[in-house]
Amino acid sequence: MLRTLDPDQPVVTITVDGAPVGAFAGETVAACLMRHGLVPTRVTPSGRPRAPYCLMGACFECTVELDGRTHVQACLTPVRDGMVICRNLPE
Amino acid sequence: MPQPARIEPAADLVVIGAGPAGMAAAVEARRHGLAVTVLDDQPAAGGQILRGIARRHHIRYEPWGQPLADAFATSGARHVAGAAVWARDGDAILFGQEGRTCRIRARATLVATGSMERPVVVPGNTLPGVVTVGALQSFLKGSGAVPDGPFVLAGCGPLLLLTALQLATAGAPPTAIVDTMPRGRWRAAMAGAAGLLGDMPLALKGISLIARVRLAGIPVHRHATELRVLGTDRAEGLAFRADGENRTIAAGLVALHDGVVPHDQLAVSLGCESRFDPALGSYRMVTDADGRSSLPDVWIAGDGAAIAGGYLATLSGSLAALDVARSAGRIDAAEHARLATPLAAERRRRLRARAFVDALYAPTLSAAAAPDAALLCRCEEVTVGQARAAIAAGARGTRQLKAATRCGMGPCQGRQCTLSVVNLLARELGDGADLVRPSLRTPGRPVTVAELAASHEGHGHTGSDA
Repeated sequence: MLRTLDPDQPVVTITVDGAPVGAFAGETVAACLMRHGLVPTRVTPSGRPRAPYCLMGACFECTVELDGRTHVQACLTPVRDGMVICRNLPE
Repeated sequence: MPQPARIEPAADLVVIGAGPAGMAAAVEARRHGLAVTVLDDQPAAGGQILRGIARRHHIRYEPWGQPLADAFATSGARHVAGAAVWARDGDAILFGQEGRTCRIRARATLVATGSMERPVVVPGNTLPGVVTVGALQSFLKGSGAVPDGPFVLAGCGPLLLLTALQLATAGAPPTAIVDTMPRGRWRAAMAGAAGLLGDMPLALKGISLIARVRLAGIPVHRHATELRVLGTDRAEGLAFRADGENRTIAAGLVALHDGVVPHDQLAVSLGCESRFDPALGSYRMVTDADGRSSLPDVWIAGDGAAIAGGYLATLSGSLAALDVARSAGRIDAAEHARLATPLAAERRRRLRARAFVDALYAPTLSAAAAPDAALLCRCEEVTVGQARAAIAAGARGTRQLKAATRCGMGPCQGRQCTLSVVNLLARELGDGADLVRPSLRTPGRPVTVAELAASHEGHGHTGSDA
């Protein structure tokens, strides 16, 4: 869905739903997930897929579990090496 | 056991938001010796318009942006990034940072939370791959990322044109712009055109923007209606009507935009008064000319109070800081007048251009015009049809609609639906609609029970809150 303009940035590794994912040190978790096409980020109670929408902290569509904390807004969080992320998807 | 709250050193002024208004206020307050802490929920200072100004630039920022960012960085104000404010408890501000509850005593508080995009209600607007136009700007400026593959910008507003141009310049031109401005808008807006003389730089910027989008050769579909995002699990394109024909554009990303409104939920949850402005289809915070809110010791500046753009936000931020400095006895009335008078005069003069801009870019994609199947409340999954049924069953106001449908009761706390509800009520009931805003209570953001439990304890800098 997205591509980077800064391919020479340092690369770190984060874990998304148990799988390693390459991330650029200067991007947000939401940008990283979208760049890898890792959507939806959550599924609603009625079963509809949702993904990052406003990217400024106002819509709460991009909330994920991050290092054990629930409902973290991926768009407000810069990636950090070793981060562990779980999307809010049904089992 | 939850960690106890971290107690931050008390500040003469706590600024909430590190955008143009917040940065300008911090710089001005520091000039007069106030201890200033700036709490901001974003990863870096700049707000939306100056997002990413401290990293590698992929756009050209406004000329006042870099000097302001530099002045802020060297002002001596303490900047706390990733700080999500959720309450005011007496004279303390409570915020969360990476799950840790923090508490800071504030002699004065300035809310400078900026703008957010007006909710857009069209069928399919919740599919993955549908984003706001501001989101594309956020990817570009904050993460150095651009759309990969065909994408379309749809809606109306200066930000849409600016973003299209910035993306084209960065090597990722949109497949098309689907412009929803109805016919006759320019003629209707001309009534306010004389006001543009008050802000010629703004008028010239607008003309240059429109001309540069034309020169960039981006296909534009004008006066589009009946927008509908295509796809089942992801956005696959946009369908619309233009020039008397049904059209579709295939796109993996669909970016929607319908202007900006104050991002004022925090100020409202603190208890500050706001009023509905029918001309804007949004609320504006009640403040005096210095930004003083309806609450003692709380000021509001910039687009978070009323939309006027980034540059004017810097003026209102400075004016609020000067008023705080006067209230704290750091400057006397004569010094205040000497510093504030020219800023206030410039602000008043430039504000005269708003009538034209607001009329030209009045909302085009609100719930009032949407089909029943479109989703009005993203969090609680309430459709426009369900809201219309509740109105038909007797709901006359925002609170009754909230009670009948749950709209506004999810994690975004009405950020994405309140204005849709209000405009739907106004359209369906006319003068009979009760547009009083639904109450927003503490916490101003969703918090965990552990964060809440931690908020009244604390061992930190002073070991005491007093």
